[in-house]
Amino acid sequence: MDTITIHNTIIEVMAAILDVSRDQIGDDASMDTIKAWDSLKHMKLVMTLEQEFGIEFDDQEVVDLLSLRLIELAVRAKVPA
Amino acid sequence: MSDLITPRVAAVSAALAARFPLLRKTVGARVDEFGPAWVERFEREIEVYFGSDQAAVERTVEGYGQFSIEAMMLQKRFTKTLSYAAMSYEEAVAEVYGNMDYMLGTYLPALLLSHYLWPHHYRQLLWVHDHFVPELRAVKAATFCDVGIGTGFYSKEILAAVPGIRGWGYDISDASILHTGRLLDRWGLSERYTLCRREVAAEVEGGFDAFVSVELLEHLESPPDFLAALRASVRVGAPGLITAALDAPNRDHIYLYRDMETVAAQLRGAGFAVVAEANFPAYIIQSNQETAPQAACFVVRAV
Repeated sequence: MDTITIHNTIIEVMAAILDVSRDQIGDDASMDTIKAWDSLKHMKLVMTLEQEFGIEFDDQEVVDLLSLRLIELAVRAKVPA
Repeated sequence: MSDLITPRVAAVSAALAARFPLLRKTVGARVDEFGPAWVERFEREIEVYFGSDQAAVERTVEGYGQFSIEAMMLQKRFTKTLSYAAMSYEEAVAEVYGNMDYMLGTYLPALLLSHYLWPHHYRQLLWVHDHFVPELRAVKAATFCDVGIGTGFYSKEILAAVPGIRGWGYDISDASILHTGRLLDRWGLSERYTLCRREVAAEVEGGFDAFVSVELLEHLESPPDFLAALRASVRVGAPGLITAALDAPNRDHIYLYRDMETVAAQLRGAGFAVVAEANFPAYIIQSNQETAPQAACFVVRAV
């Protein structure tokens, strides 16, 4: 899967789970910039991304993936190019 | 949030944010949800329990954070398997209840804070004050037993809410006995309480006037056996508070309850009539592919 498709899919999932428009999810999007992104929404986000990409994050990744950038890096590392 | 928050609650929030970024919005969410009454109650709990010992606050927050994150990861797995990891009662005793370091460093501090920081636990607390405490007053209960005291939190709440009532607390964990003793000392309630490191028994003539067992059933291999022993320890007509965790895959949860009716049927089977019940989920699930831990709460009467 190419990086643009990965990026767009993550944005789609984030918008749906965090209930914000795609425009509100900038490159610097994180738990700090999106008010609705709390621990509960985070778990739903992680589980939906796992389902969407057919991957699994380990426990430490789940705790650490608190920004769009970090999520993209982790997904790209797990999804075949 | 900043307008409402008080110094000790702010200290908990800051410690949580510094150590567990994933949980940094927890306090703000509870303030938004429950308002100034929550802040006032939590501030008082921290003040009495910790005094000015900020290091103890930070240790407790560490325990709470570890416990909560473990619970979130276990919930993630549970959503896929819909089963608890196989653990016997003996294994739970060895790994959890008999492990003083874990109990006093993580488990009990986490449970204490969870009464305020987990929304379903706080709703349960409010419900108990609205639905169970009036029952104790109505029957003029002079004695109660609390079986599976854990932190001692609910014994403390009842002793504080019902002047003159005497309590007996039962637990098989030395750490729970120690923690409950400390908690009640700090609240000045120890004189009306007896700690018992054993299974529940009819300690007072004719049985206890009332009884409490909060989130114990799911820790047992056979809840009906326990409920029968509890019924034998209380008098006819005694009001009781029984709660159980549903869909909550904590490491020491053995008996999986998935619905209220299963708990209610076991209560009735043991000789209790259900007077009131409520189910508090930790969060609202939006599809059948999700699960949420729930607090199943019952006020019962021994029949």
